Amino acid sequence: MCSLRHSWSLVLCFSLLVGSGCSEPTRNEPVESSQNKSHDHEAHDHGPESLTDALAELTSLRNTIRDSFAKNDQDAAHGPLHEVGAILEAIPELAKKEKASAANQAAIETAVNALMDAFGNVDKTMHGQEGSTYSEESATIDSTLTALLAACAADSAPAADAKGEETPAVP
Amino acid sequence: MMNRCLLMNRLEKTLIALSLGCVLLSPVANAQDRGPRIARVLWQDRDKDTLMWGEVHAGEKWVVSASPVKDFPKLDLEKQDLVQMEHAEGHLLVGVRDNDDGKFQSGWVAVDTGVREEPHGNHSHWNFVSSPSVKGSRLDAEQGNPAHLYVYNGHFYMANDKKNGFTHLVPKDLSAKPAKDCGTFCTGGGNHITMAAVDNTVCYATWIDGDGPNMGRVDVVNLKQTDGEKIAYSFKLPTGVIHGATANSGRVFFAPEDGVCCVDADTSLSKSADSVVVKHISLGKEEGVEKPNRTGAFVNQRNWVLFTTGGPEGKSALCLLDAKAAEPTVIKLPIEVADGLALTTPEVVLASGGKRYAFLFHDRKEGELQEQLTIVDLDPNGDRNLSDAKIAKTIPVGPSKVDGHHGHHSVSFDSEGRLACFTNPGDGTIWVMTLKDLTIRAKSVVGGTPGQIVAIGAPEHKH
Repeated sequence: MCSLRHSWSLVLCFSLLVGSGCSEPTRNEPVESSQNKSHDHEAHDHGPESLTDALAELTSLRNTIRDSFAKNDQDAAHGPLHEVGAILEAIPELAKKEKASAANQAAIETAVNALMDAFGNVDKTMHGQEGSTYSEESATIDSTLTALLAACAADSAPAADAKGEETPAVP
Repeated sequence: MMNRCLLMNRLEKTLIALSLGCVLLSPVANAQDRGPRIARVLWQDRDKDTLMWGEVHAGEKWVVSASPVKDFPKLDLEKQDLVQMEHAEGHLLVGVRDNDDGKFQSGWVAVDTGVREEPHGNHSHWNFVSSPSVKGSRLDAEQGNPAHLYVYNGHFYMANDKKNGFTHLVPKDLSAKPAKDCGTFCTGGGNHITMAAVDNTVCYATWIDGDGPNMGRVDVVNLKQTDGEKIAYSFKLPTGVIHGATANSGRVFFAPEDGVCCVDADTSLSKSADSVVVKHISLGKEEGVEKPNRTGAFVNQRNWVLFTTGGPEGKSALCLLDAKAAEPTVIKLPIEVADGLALTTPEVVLASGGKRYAFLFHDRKEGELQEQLTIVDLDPNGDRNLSDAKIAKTIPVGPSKVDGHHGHHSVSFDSEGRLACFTNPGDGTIWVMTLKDLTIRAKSVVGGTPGQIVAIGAPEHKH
């Protein structure tokens, strides 16, 4: 009833199961369509509410991207590279809302487009396409960001000063 | 006796529990813990002459899953072989050849990879919408025994060797039309055809002949001609046995039995057999060897054409040609290859982050030597001039199972240049390497004899 043979057969069975787990191919899971998945987005960040906030966020993202590439940590740069597009898109609208002069509005839009292109070229490279490396675009990014901050400050500085806030400086 | 029985009962219970645990922890039961899906792979299994698919999961331990592609046509193992396969716009086209000059049953099978590219501004997202599925096939005695298959400018070009022509297929037709209505047959090239198409306007199709009237012949085919004679003109290279063609930077390159030849791409078809100018680029000749150096296939990276040359011990090399140069010259990067091994055609990738690599396997010609993979950093200083290419690393790999044209290692890269996935046909494994650090992450048993592989897709982003 409780024979040794019985137990040995269980040992053999166990060994076979353990063995098969190591060498058998792993079968595919059924594919759940990623297109059909309900988009369980987390609560949306509605973006910056003022030009000052947007410029601070842009400068911070630029710094994170720059520092991540400097440390050769591409993965840390990738998220901010995607976020920077949304911030840039918001800036011309915020400038309009804050009543930038026509000349400054034009300068802001030119700078935003140039930054879109520069960050976009870096993002292309991150996605395995022909683009640019961060080091190739860094001078353009820095000088254009400086120009953007100056164009925004030309109109918004008095208002900011009145509130006792500072326009973010380019480190 | 009683105590012994109790001990046995406990032992049995323990073993049953352990066995049950083992089943629960087995690969099938462990599906939820595999980690995120980061790419899909499809590969040929030579044991069964069928197509397999799987996904790379980057969990704590990386794995590649494996299942047959449902409804893939059953081939005759003795009489048919899967040959080259390529993918474009979510479709994979797989060539089928028979051993009776196409009189038994040859042609192609079209597979929807189930992966879709979704453009997102300056990049794309990759959606895994379904399992791979067969969309159609043409397997009969009329397909002229395909061997070579190319993708140029997003269109497929499949050689129909025994019909002295090729089929030009538009990927979207493969899911929109019945198989019999897919593709346009064009006369051009002969016997064992290689092709280079430019702008889906003109195609240069070669003849393999080593002597006779078609030695060194190249047919220039007008792809816009809707009916009647499509060969605009033909010209001759100085030598025959042409086995390789490609297009790059407005030029077309050929691989005859002596070196490399090139012509300017004639997209306006303004030239003729008399006015076309053929440039010959020598690859040298080794001492004590009767024939000059040659190559058999090309790959492109930006404006550079890459290929290998073999030769006596120590003379194998990766060769690079700047297709844009006024006078293209060959840059040779010597690669030490052991006697009994030979370099495969390079496969190239632009990796995420901007590095460019070429992967070359050292496959067995004979014996039981340890096979290797050499990875070449094509542009160490990142200036897009590949003349400073250098070997990044050489690693031992699993065995090939070479049998004629089949059984070589095969590598493919995911859609964002993050992974290299390669097959080891001799031990039934697929290995996955991350390109950011050239480190092997997975050595997965998939079974059978995995041959040609295609990787597609990338991690799903949310932003």
